[in-house]
Amino acid sequence: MKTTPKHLSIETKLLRPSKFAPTRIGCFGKIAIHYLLTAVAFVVSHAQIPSSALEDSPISGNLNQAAKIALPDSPSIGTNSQSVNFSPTINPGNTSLTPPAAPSAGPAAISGAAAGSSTEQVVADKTKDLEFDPANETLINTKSGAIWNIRDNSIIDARYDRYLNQDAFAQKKQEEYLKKLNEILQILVPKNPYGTGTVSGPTREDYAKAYELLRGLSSDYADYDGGVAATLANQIDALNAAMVDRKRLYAEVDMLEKEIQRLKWNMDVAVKRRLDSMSERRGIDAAQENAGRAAYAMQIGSNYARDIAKCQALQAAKTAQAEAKMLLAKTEFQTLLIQHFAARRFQQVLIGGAFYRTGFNDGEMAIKADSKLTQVFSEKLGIPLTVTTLEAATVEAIEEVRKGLGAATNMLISKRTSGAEKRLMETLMVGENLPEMLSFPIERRNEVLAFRQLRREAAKAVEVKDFTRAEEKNTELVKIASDYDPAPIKAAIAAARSESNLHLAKGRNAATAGDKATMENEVKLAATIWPQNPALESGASTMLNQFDQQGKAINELDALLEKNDLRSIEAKREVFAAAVANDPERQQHLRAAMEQIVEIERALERAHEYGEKESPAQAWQIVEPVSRKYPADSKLTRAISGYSMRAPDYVKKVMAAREAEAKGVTAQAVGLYLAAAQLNPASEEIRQKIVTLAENQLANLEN
Amino acid sequence: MARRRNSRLSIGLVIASALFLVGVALAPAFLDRNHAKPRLDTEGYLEDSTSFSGNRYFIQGSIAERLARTKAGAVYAVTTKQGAQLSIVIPSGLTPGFNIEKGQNLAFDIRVADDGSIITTEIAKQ
Repeated sequence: MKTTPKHLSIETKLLRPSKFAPTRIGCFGKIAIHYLLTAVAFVVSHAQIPSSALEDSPISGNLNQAAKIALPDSPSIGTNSQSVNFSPTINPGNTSLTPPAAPSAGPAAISGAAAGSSTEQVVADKTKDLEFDPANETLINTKSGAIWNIRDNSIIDARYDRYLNQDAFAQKKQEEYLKKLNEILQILVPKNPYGTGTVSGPTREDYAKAYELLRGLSSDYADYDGGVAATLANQIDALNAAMVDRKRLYAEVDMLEKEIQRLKWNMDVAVKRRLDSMSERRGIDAAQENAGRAAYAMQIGSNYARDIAKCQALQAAKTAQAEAKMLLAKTEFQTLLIQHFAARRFQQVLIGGAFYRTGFNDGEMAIKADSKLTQVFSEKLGIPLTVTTLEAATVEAIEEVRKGLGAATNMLISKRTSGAEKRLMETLMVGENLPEMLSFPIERRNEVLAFRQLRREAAKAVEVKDFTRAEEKNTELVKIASDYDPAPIKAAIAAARSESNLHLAKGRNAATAGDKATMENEVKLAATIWPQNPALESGASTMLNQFDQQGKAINELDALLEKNDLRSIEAKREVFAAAVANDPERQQHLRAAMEQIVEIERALERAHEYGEKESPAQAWQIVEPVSRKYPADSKLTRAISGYSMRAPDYVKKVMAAREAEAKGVTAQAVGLYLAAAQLNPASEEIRQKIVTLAENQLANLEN
Repeated sequence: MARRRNSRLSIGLVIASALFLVGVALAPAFLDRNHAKPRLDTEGYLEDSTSFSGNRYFIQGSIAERLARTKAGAVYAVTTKQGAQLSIVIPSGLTPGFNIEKGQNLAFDIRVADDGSIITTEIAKQ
């Protein structure tokens, strides 16, 4: 959708092929212009920061002043920085100005020229080493190797935000302003560019009318124009003044020429008459008289020659003065055009270019201002910089802005807000001060602004690791922008969540293993990655509780071990095992307790089998030694009691045998064991005891 | 009448037979030279063996098993006629000329040592 107002298409008419209009530049040139202007805008933005990353070499000049000149603030802010900086150099009344290089330049001229020079120098110094990489949308400083993403830049962002938040022009006022600008351009359009014979360029009256309108713009539309038109008008005044001066000086030169001719004639007449009237005397008298007359003639000729030389010198001086004034006017005008171009005030460039021709319509379009900026522009554009190429580049830039705005509008209509945001920013970089840019509908800007704010909020939420909020914002972005890619934020959120949860899991494992240091470290990492992780609060408290429980469990284990309460230990063996995971000494005690439990259980199991087989004596025999080893075990106590009741004789005999053995009454013990063995022949222990005691008997016998 | 005469004869016969049988029954005891030797009170021994120290007894029983054997002698588990089992030490000097085997019925002259051990002083087959 084309949003360009109809009446703004006048610029292209100026560029139709004619002896007045510049030629268009090629496709490559268009790209070069776009990126050149992008780079210039970027550099100008950064020129406001003294410690900018771009400062890879000392830059002389006042950067703030330079920035104001190169990129004036918005008209709504209302600074007249340009008129302040340039009026001293283009004041029509200040006719004593000489070219900036001339040593006789006045203080005002020096300050004005210095301001212009520093502006150019700053922009030129910073632009010359910059290369634009369109694939990555980055500017590369070929000298330092630094890279800046033009979209990811705080200053560019700030300008974009300011643009998006500006109030749109009052439609009527803006229409009027554009109409006036366009009227000026219409007046300056060649009337018959393809015609033959008749007048094809603007007349003197046309220029006068255009000048009058231009002069009125700054006063009538001060809020919008910001004095830019007045600056240009001042420069035109300076040009006119220079032309009037030149005319006057050349008139004086002509008068001097006439005076020279008169003096020459008079000299010829006077000298010839003296020489022609020779003495009528004879002899010595005649010779003397003739010599005197010749000497007199020579004196008269010499006087005339001196006057002629004086006039000629004055003539040369006035000619030089006239040419110097024109050269100064031309240089200043060219500089102003370049600065308007750098400031992306393209309409002023076109209007100024048309006026430029009135003063320099001799075909001398080459820009003589041998400034660094001129060199950079020539280098980047790949062609010698002339007023014509500057105008062509201007028209191309305007076209770029219109196309960009058209693309942004179409994208916004089709809800491709993400793309529109990018296109609008690119367009802003090129045509920040164009009326089309400023008249871009506020509703459209608000759509971009809303998307931009939401995108920032999402990015900020990711940055501060508020992933819940980031997810919400990401979802909203998808709703309002069909071309928005939610994947990067989703991926960032998913990655962070996974990582955070992974650390939490590690923390839980560490807590389970009783490794408090690792647990704390992992919880800290999880919190760093995702501070609002819902699992963090419950997980951390669970882990801390776990440690509390662990401490209690250890204390309980110690108490149970002291009491040798194996059954209680066995009942909570999982808890105790977890609690002492990092305590080798307690682990050993716990393992021993578990082994003892196993020993008891095995004995009980074996005893149970014998009990089932009606061998309670053997069951007792199996359980009893274990019971003596673990007297606190209630299960053993119950078992031993039960088997004792089922095999009382056997138990009695065994107990008696032990008593006898203890007393050293070996034979009696053997006898009792033998009696027990009769009741429980299966007992190997008794059998072994009998044999041992019998051997003792024999040993005693030997002694 | 005849029935009465027969009754007298038969009473006398019965008495004579009884006496004969008693005599037959008691004959081995009177003929056994060990019958006068004191027998060991096994239950009492198992309750307090040292109280029998220094005494000599005669024990009859069968060999249940050999419990131990060294140069000093051997210890056998002997099952007495009462069913109790005792450990009886047979010093090497008293080893009989016959083999002592499991199940063999033997007669032991024993003495109870100070530590209560039953030491064989004489051994014979039965």
